[in-house]
Amino acid sequence: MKTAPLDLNTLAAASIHEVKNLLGQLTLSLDSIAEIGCPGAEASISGARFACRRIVDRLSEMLTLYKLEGGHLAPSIDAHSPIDFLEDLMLEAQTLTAGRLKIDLQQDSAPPFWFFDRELAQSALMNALHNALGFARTRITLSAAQDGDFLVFRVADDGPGFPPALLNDNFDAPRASQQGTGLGLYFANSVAQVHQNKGRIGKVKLANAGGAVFSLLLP
Amino acid sequence: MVVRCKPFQIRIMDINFETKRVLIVDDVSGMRSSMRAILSNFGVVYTEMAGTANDAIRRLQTKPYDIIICDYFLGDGSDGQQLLEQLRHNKLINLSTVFIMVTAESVYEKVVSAVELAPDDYLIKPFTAEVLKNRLERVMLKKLAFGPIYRLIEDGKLAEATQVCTELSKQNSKYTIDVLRLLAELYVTQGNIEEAQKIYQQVVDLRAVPWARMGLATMLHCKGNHQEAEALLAEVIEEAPEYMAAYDLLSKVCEAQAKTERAQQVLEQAVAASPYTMHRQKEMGQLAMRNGDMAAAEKAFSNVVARGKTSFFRVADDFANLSRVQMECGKLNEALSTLRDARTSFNNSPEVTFTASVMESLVHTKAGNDQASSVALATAMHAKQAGDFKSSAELTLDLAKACFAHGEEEEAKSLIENLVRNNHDSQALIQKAKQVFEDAGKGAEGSALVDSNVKSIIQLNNQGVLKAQQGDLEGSVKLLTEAAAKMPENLQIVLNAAQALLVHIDKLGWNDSYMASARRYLDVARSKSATHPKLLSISKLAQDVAKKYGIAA
Repeated sequence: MKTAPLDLNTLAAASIHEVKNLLGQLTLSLDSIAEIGCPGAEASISGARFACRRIVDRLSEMLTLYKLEGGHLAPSIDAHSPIDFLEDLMLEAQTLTAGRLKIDLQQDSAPPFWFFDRELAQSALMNALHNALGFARTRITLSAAQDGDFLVFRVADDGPGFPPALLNDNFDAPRASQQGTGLGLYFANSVAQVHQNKGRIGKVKLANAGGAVFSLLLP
Repeated sequence: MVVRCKPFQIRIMDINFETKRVLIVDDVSGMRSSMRAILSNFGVVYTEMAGTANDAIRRLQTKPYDIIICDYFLGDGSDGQQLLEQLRHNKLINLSTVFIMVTAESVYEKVVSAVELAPDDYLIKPFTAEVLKNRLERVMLKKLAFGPIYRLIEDGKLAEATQVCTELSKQNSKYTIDVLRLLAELYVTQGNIEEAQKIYQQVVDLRAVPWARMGLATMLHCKGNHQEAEALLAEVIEEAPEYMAAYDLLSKVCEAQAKTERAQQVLEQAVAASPYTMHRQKEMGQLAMRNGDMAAAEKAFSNVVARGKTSFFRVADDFANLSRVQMECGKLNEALSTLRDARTSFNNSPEVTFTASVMESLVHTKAGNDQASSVALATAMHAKQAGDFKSSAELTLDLAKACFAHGEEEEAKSLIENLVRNNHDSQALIQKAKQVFEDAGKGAEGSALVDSNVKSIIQLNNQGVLKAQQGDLEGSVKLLTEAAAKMPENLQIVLNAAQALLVHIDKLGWNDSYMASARRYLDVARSKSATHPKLLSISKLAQDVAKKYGIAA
C-alpha cells in the first residue's frame, strides 16, 4: 500500500462517501417502512424519502465534481438503451413526487441503443429532475430522441421557466442566482462535456417553452 | 440449414418472481437481510444468503439458482467480480443465470467496462426497491430473448448459434451490441480469429469501448501482430489505468516479443493494484520464474498459497510451485514445510501425496538426504499408479529428475519421452526436457532422444496425411487414431486424426462412430487451445461433411 499525505479534499471526499453510504441505508429503511405502511404518516415518510434522495444525489454530485476537478473523471462509456434509461429515471421521479405530479414519457424517436455513461448521465438528469420537481405545477415530461449526431435527453416542466439570465449561460463556472447555487447546472454541463465522440462534445441547453426545458445532448 | 430468427419479443408479464431461486451474497448481514426484504416486496419467495465468496460457491455446488445478487466488496480482500469469474470458469453458473452486482463504489463502473466477464447488470447504492425490480425484470427479459441462443451454445451447437447471432446482429435493437459481443465470443470459441476481429472492429468503429478494444488487442495477439496489439493496449491503459485485464494482455504481448523484463514490470503494476487476484499472482510467479527472478516468484507463489488456503479453487500445483522456487533459493526447510501444508490442505488425497512426494524427493536430494529422498520417490510412484489425476508438465519433469537421482534411468526416459511426444511442438518444453538430461549428465544422449521423438511424431503425422492423399483412407484413420490414443494431449495429432475420420466419411460414406470420434477430438482441441491454427478448418470440415449427409452440425 502506498501512503501519500492526506489533503483536506481527499479527506472530505472520503467522508462524503461514507455519509452517502449511510444515507443509502437510511433510504432502504424508509423504503421498507413505506412498504409496510403507516396510516397517517405517508406524507412525512414520503417527504423524508425525498429529502434523503436529494441529499444522496447532492453528495454524489460533489464526489463527481471532486474527481472532475482532480482530472480523474473519465466516463465509463458503454452501450445502453435510452428507453430503459428513461424508464429508470421515471421510476426515480415517481418515487420522489409520490403522486403529486404527473410524469410523462416521450421516447418514440429514441434510438435503440446509444453509447454513454449511464451513471453520470443519470446524475445530471436527476439534478434537472430535482429542479423540475420544485417548479412544476402539474406535470413533468421526460424524453429521449436522436437529433443528428446527438442523443438528446429532456426534462420539461410546466412551471415558470428559467430566469432569462440562465438561458444564455455557458456554465463554465457555478453562478448563483435567486433560484440556487448554480452548482447543479455546472455539474450537468461538466458531465455532458466528458462525453466526446469523433470530435463532438456533449452539452447542456436550457430553453423556456411552456415551462423550463432542460436538455442534455450526448454525442 | 435455415435458421429462423424471431425478433426479440418477450413481454414483462412472462416474468414470475415466485418461482425464482435467489442467492444474496454480501459480507454485511444487515445488508443481506434488507436485500431479502426488498426482494420479498416484489414476490420473491425463495432466497438464500451467503456471507462470503466460499459460502456462495458451496451453495452453488449443491444446487442451482436463477438469480444471484452479489455485493462487489466482499471483505477479506475478495470481490464479487472474482467470484463471478470463478463461477463462470468452473461452470457453477450457466449463461441463463442472472448475476447482478451491487456496489457502493462507483469505481466498479470502471472495472466492469473492461472485464471479459461482465455481470448482467450492476447497481450503484443506494437504490430503491422499484429500481432493483425494474433492472431485474429487464435482465430476465434479455435472458429470455437470448434463451434460444444460450441453449444452442450449451448443446455445443456453436455453428447454429453463430448463424442466429449473425442474423440478429443485422436487426437494430437495444440488444444489438450484446449480440455482437456474444457473436465475437462465439467466433473466438470456434477458433475463428479473423471473424472475431472483424466484429470487435465493427464495435470499435461505432465507439471505442474498452471491452471491444481489449477483444481487438487479444485477436491481434493471437494472430502474432504483437506490435499492433501493444500499441492498442498502451492506448487503453493510458486512457484508463484501472483496466487490469489490459495489463495482463500487455504482459503476454511483451513476452511474446521477448521483452521479458517489460513483461514482468507490467504485470507487477497490475499485481500491486489488485493483490488479491489469484490468477494474476500465479501468472506473476511463473513469469518471474521464467525470468529467473526467484525473489519475485517466491513472493507471488506465497501469496497464491496463503490466499488459496481458504479457497475452493486451490490446487496442489500452487504448493508445488512455491516449494520449487523455495528449493531453488536453497530454503529447503521452508520448501518441506510448504509441502506439509499442502498435504494437510488437501487431506492427503492421492494427487497431493504424489505432488508433495515428487517435490520432497528433490528437496531431500538437495539436502543430501538420499534415504529420505528415495522413500519419497517410492511414495510418489505408488501414488501415481493408484490415483486418477493428471500431472502438470513441470511436475512430470521434476519426477524424471528424481528418477535420475536414484538411478531409475528407464523410468525417467520414458516419462520424458511421453511428455515430449504429447507436446512435440512446444519449444519451451523441449528445451526444459533436454535440460533435465543435461543436469543428469546425459546431455548428448537426452538431446538425441528428445529430437528423435519429435522427429518420429512429425513423421507419423506426415505418414498419416500421405496415406490419405494416396487414397488409403482406412490406413490413415488407423494410424492417426492409434497415435491419438497414445498421445491424447498432442493437438496436432488429435486434429489430424479428426481430419482423417472426416475425410473418410466424406469420401466413403456416413459413419456414426467416426463422426462421434471426430467431434470428440475437436472438443478436446477446442478446450485446450481454441486458437489452434488448424482447429477452424477442421471444424468447418466437420460441419460441411455433416451437412452433405443432411445431419445437423
